[in-house]
Amino acid sequence: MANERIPDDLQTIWRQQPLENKTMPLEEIRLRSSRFERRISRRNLREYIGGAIGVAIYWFCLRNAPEPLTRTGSALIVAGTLFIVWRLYRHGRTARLPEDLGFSASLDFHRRQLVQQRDLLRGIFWWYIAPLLPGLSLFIAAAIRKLLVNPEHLVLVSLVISGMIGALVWIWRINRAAAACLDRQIAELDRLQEEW
Amino acid sequence: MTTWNVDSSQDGRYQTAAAEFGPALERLARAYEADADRRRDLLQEIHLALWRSFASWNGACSLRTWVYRVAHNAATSHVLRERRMRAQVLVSVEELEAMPDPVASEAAAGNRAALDRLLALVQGLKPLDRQVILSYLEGLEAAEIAEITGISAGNVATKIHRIKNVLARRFHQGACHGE
Repeated sequence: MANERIPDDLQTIWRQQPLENKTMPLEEIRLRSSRFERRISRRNLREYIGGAIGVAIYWFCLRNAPEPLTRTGSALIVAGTLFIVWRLYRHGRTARLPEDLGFSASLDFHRRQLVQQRDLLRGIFWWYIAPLLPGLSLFIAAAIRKLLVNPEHLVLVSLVISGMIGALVWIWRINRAAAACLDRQIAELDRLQEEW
Repeated sequence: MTTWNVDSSQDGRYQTAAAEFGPALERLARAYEADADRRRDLLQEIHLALWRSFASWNGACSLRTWVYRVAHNAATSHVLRERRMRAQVLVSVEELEAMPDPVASEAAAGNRAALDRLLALVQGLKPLDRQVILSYLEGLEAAEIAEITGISAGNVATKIHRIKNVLARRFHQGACHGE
């Protein structure tokens, strides 16, 4: 029975296992921390640039469109886009590497993180799509009214309108799917909690 | 470029923790990640999380509890993330207890083999069970494990009892097989 392992023996084997013993200098840690922050900043910047392009396009329409309906629609889209950018900015600030890892036990910490992400995705209609709907509706109404008078650009306008609606539906659907995936992970954690 | 509000106490606390718990953190990373490259990344991630955590450390719990909480939370995030990509199936200690023990002819032939088997067993566990077994192997008391995981000390004791059973059975069987 010379090879028999009892649990206490395994504790010794575990604690005496050979290690690389690599240390991580503070400079390296700061560098990685900055890199992580830069990655988040770049992601936010991309979102802001996207918002700025949208605002610029509809600002142009607002200033140059002859019909009041199109101008009103453009103004509402600009306002909706600014709201979305503000919402993204607020969320971006909380999406950094959490600093409260030591305050929470593992189960609570992860459940909280997953719920936060899921709720954000679930609410995508209200904070990403709904703010654009009033402006887009007026914009589409103006385009349809124009077509009734002059159907020359029927195909082009139909394509643009379909594209806009299709993009919104696509965004809504992929985010709903991601939220459902997170929901399954939360349910798994809840099951674990019940087991305990 | 963002700069952190770093005070000397944050650096100092991190350095103290890294010096005292560095080997334990390396063992912990090994238990969470089998792939050597990913394991190095995970260990760095844990060190980064630990350094950042000391910006808000308030001394409400012991340094050891704090370090293990941060490390386990960072490592569990890693497991959940990797699991999404690799669709790895993890089991609980209870499921492990109910499973037939694998026949391992060369098992327990030496410390290295015993360690490899132990690692394989730990790496296949669900995150919370993994935390308990690792804490047990590191020699932490049930009360401390409860503080780290957030479950009651009584439940931790039950869990440790089961873990000991599984370990004794699996490693004893390997030894008998080799006799």
